[in-house]
Amino acid sequence: MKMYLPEIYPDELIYSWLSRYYVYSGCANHKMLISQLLYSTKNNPSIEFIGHLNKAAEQQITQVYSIDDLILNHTMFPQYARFMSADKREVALEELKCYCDPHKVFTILPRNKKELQLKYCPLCVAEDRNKYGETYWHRTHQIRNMVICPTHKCKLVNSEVDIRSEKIFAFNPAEVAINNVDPILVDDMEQIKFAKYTSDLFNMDIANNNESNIKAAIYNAMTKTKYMKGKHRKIAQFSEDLRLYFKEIEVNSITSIHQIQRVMLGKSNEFTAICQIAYFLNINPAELLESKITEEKVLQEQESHYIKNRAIADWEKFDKENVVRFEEFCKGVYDGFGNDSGRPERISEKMVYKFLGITSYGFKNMPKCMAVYERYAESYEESWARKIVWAYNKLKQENTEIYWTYLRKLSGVKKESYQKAISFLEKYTDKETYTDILKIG
Amino acid sequence: MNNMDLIKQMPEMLSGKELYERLADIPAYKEIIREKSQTERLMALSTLYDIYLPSEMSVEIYSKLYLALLRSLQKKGTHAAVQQLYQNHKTIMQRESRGIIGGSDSFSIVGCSGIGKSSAINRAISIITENKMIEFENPPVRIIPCLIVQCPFDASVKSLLLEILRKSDELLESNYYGNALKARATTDVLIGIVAQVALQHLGMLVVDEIQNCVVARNGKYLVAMLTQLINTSGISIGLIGTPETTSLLETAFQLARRSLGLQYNTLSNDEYFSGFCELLYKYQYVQKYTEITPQIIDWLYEHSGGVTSVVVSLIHDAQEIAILTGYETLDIVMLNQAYNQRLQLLHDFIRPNVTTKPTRKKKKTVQAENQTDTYTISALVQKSKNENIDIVPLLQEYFTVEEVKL
Repeated sequence: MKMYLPEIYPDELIYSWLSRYYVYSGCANHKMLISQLLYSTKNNPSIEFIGHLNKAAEQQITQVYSIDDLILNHTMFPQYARFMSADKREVALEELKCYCDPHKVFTILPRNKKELQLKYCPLCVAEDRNKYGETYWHRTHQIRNMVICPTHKCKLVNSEVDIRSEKIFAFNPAEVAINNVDPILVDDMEQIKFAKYTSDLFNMDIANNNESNIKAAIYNAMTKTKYMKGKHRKIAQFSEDLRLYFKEIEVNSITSIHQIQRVMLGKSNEFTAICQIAYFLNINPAELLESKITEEKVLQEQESHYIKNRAIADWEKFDKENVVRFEEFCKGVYDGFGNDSGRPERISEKMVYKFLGITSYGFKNMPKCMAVYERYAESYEESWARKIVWAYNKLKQENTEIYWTYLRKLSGVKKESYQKAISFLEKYTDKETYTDILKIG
Repeated sequence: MNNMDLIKQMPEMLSGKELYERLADIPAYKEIIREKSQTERLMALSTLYDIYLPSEMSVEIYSKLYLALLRSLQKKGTHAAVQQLYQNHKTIMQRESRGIIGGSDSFSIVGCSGIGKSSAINRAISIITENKMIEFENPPVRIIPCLIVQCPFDASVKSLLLEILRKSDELLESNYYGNALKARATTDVLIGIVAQVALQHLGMLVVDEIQNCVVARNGKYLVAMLTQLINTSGISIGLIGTPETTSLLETAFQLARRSLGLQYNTLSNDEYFSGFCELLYKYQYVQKYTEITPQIIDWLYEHSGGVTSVVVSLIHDAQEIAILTGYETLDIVMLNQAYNQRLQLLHDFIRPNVTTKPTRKKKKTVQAENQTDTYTISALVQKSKNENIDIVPLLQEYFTVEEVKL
């Protein structure tokens, strides 16, 4: 069956394009169009991406438009892939072309309560109607934290169409869904500049394979600010100042200190967070993406992390020197004689890092100590079982009447954890003691 | 794509001699066919039905159709058309129905059966469209310049709408018909769907045999539906039918306004008719060739009632009888035979034209005693014989006499 899809407009979401096709095709209900376009009638149309098209629809669409072009220029792909490495971005694009679930391709965070609907600019709507006779959903307006239209500098309005794909099984054309509202122009220059900044970053060419080093670019910018003390970043102060600044601008969600740290560590390439950080640091979008950062700067950035670790020059030597005392420490904690109460405890990673004065990254450089730790590592249930057995034996030694409350208080094991520990009791005591403990419980 | 791109795809409007030449369809004829076997000649005889000689009616219909198509295409791709798409969508969603694009561009072609309305329309469309659709690649667009559908015998609204969708699907390779059936669309929803299809894919819609609406119970509903379709589709809709249609279209102003158009009666015995007969007479498949005479032309006129299809049938059947019986000559004898044997059903409809001589005033006769006023025909015949007077004037004194020219 031939499909006569309309022309896709500039900066139009694929969802919007297909919604207009829903009008043009004369389909009597959404399900009919879903069966025409999508792989299964149980699939729902994707608002931010391309959805899972069936073979016939894909064949017809690709006769006119390439899938690459559609994904790059008519989905929210730039928002999620902008700051990925070139390799990962390419992989993501290929996976989307194979209709993988976008939630498995990108890290898609839950939406802020103020960003649950598709947005539109009243002036863009008027302009579209004047030019095309109808309006459509613009991609740029759907960028997270975009509160004003970068073109017309007027406040974006929330429609009644839910933007979360999993919530809808319908096609909602903009021309039908949008109500006529008066535009509210914004004169706050900071708001306007930030919106323009975000829009520019979003719309910059993503097809090239330029590798950008966001961390180094941010670090480089930060060195010129008051937020650097030597090599150390004053993240708390930076985060607070950023929060106050963006609170003033009235964005929908402000990057938290945790998100800032993740960005600084290279663990997150979340678009909104990076936009806010980069904008706050006055990093030019081109500079952020095209990475003229030198190798020297990159190394400096790397060195600014994990200072504790950097104090240890020779890990092998450190590992060798500390393995014996580390074993003593572990044994003491495990058996309890190293503890004030004498109660055996579970050796946690936090304890290990604190004892050795290193971080988790540094511990990976210490194979000998790691082998010791693995010998003493146990599950919570096993540690509870050991505590219960120890408590029972102690109470028995003191010739005290053994009640469950005494046992629980001494072992520190909660009532609900007791049931989970029962299966491991036999491992740490003889049968007689095991039976006695069971009777008490 | 905008309407200017569509209009550029249309060929230039023809006129004058060029138009006549393009409209005419004169198949080839070779004298040698008369020497062929009976079977071959009988099969070749059907060529008569392929002959088309344009008339003033053909030119008028061509102009009407061309301009109607042009106006339809001018409306496509406009903002009004886009807005109408959304209004039709609301109709499909059963919310409301409103016409934005407007539809005063509709017409009717009314004429007796057999005078060549459908042939003229088909010829005109084949020239206007050059038998191809208007197509673009990006975005994919395909427009059927003219879709011709027959009005259902029972004037059923749903049948007509589904027929439009079905015929559209054949040319568009789409599945509007299947989807409409699957959705079990009501008539209102169907109107919306057809309006969408018409807005995007049709240049012009021609509904033939519209006279079916006159007698059918649903006739007025179908005409009302067409009025709604005119308003919501933005295309020109042509209603083709016989003169009975006029009575239906006259019933309401809105129908009459939207059905301004062409009315044709049977041909007069004029130069065109003579030329038409002469052309047809040239296509002889009997062994002995004969020339047409003015008497034969007059005979053909009277026995066809000026209806071209009947003329073709007469000449065709006369030749067929001549070939089959071995008479092998096309003359008045065969034509008469064809009229009497093959066109019996038309006898009540076609009354050959006669010249009636004015009846003389009845002579006042003094009635003799014992004579009655009534005379039987046999008595008059006897009287004629006895008194040696012409029977016709005698009969005329008592009866109305019609003389038939041979």
